[in-house]
Amino acid sequence: MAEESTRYFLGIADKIEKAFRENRELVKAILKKIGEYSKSLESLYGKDFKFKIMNFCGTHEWTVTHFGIRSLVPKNIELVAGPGCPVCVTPSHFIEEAIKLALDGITVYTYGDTYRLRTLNSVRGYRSLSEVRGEGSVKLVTSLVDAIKDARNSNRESVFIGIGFETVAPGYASAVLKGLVPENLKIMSLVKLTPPAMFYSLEILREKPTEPPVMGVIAPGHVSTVTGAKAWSVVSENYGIPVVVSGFEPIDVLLSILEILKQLVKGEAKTVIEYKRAVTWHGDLRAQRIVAKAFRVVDDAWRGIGFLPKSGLRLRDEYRKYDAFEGLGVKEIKPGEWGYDLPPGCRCAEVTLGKAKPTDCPLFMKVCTPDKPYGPCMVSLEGACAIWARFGSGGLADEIAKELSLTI
Amino acid sequence: MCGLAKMCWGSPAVVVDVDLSSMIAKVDYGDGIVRDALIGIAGERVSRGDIVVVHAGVIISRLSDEGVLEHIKFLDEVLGEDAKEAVKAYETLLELAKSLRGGSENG
Amino acid sequence: MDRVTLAHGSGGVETFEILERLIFRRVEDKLKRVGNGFGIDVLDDGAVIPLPSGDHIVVSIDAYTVNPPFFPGGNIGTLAAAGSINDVLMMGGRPIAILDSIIVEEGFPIEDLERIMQSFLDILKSENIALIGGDFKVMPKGGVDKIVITTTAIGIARKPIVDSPKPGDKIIVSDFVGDHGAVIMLLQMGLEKNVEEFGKGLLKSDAKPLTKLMLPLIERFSNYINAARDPTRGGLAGTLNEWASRTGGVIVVEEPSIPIRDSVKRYCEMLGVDPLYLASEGVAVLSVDPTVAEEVVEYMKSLGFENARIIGEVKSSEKFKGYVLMKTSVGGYRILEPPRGELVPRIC
Repeated sequence: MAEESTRYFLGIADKIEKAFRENRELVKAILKKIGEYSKSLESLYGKDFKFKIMNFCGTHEWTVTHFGIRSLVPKNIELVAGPGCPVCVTPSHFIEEAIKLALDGITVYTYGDTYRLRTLNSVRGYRSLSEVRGEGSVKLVTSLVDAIKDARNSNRESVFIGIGFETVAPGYASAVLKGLVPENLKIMSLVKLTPPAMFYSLEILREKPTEPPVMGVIAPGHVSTVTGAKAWSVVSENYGIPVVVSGFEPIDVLLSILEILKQLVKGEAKTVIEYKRAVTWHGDLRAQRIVAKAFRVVDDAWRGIGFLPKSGLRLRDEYRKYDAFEGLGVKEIKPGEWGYDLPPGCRCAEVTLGKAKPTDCPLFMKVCTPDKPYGPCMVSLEGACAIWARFGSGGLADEIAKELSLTI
Repeated sequence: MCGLAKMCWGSPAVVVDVDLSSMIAKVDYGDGIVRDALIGIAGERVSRGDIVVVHAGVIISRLSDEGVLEHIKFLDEVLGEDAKEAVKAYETLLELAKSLRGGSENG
Repeated sequence: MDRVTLAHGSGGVETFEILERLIFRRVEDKLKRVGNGFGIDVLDDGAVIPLPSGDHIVVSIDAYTVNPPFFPGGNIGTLAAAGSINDVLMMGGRPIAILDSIIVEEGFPIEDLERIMQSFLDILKSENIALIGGDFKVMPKGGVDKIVITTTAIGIARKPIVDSPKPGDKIIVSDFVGDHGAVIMLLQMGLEKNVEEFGKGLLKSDAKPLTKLMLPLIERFSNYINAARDPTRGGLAGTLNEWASRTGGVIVVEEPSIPIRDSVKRYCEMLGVDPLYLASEGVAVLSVDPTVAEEVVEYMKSLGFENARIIGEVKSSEKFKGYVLMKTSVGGYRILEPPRGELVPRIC
């Protein structure tokens, strides 16, 4: 294809995203409506009732914080972060296993933030893959394709640390089913499924009666391109709360908040797609099919949380020749063996589940900083703590803007 | 490129070439450099000239004109009467959707 | 026992803390400057010494250590020349001379050293700046990381710019920010082969002397430029935060108007680094009287800095002091925090 037409299409893509990022008129219209609904809710539920809306993706939390969305919404709406950071919820044990492999001379391919993740136990004196980089052979990649290419060239025994949610699974599945993975490369599938974590965090917040319940969920947009919005209808049905599958631009998130409030005022609880430009109700059927073909669903351990039923993906037996758990002897954790794997004092699990704010943790920005992360939520840039550390929580910014009589 | 700072982030890219036998596409993120991406979705949904969402080197969705139009409909629904104030955004989006449609025809 | 950490040298909060502890509180005020000039009593790019003629000498010193010493767009020699020249320029001075001190590790290839010094000397030649002194030492292998170059630049200023942004001032940047920092960060992460932009020359360090920008600006607008800085360590966020705490007001910037190169934006997004904290080595940030701000921008454009633009303004506040407030593209607000910790690898 000619370069100009590529440029032309990218120009369109860019403008579409911008239409959801840089349109203050639209933002004003949405905020006006949000304000109206928030008033109606106030008269329905009383002045002091806080409407807790949980976002699931770390990227949604990033959007909320980075664009100062908390400073834009009315005071009775509280936006909380959920368990949507795959790096934060990867058990320490598997990183320890990866460090062992690296020290044994196996090339370990990893994404950037997994690379910095600190383990609970030291492995021969090392506590993260980044520490091993000088000793063993750890390589940073952005995708499985990068790892495949590099492994083909090197011909060395190697492993790819396959963390992620439903979004990455079809890619991994496709590579396995199409036989693209060379013999010397094994995949350590640590893929996690998001709905079980959402159920769990909604449950746990319900068990804590002092806390206001979650009244609405901003569901992951890109996970839903694969699973379809239908994956979330169980949430709206079982918990009786609105769920909106949202895009990642700030206007997407504001529209999703608006839709949630609208449903609450009307007394509805539906799963609705805001991110219509990319998500459909049924998702991508081929993606779902190949994932089911390559992977089996297992009960899986979540860091700091424990085992959640049917929440992880491992390669099926037919594809064991690609499987690091088989070929490289990586040890699984069994439900009985899982031990609490957060460092002492760290409240990441509560932060992950929307029970605590990063600022509630006594270690936040004291012992635990982006420079020297202590808990996993500070390591990954998707982690709520790391996001708050970089951008603040928004409260002070809001006050200053008011004092200076600045407007949106 | 390395790292994966935002796990849920997807970057829009244009499909430059598709190899359905390996289900690998060549995509351009806008820097004129062509990179490989695994096709995670149905192959028939991905063809040259499409704008796709790429996440960690995997094509996970395609931006379609129908999708954009649906999105505008959604804006209309949630904003109701106030939609007028956002007319500008609608106009640009409608135009973009049109050019997207023209694009996939010429693809 | 307390030890020095890399964070102490990152140019952020920790650097100020350790300098306060080691130096500032131990030096009596009258020895922090010469006469009515300025020295370490104001933490600016350099010092100002008044002359009987009414002019001022401007002096700056900086040690350059960068890993790797060669990078797309230049090398440590380019940095050592451009960096100190820019410091003098940002003080409102016209650079006239430079002194250098080179410490090199035993075993360092002489050919590399030649290339570095050639880059250094080329800049002095093109900017017509004399090299009037220097020192050269070799440390045993392992005694120093490859090479450290320290330079002192000297200039003359009719009216020095000692940073004091005033309420109402507009904040102007001359160019894309963060290019140099992004390049070094990508190299330090071992990604040079993965960054296709390097091969195509689409992304390189911005290290360059800003003489052709600053001398005309000083000539024409010196009465209106209340502060000037090249945002090296700590990036734009560092410069703005220093200014905010100095004025005791609030600096409000519009995020969408800050010029950041698309490729830098993308790599930063992928690596999770905020480009506003990345160093630039050939960019000027100015705090300018609002009456001439537009005119200054136009003039900068006519000098070949077509990306120059206003990104925000200085506000006074009774209640809040020393904050940088960022207005996002949707009109939300967040605080642009001062640089802290070793957010990014050491880059200059």
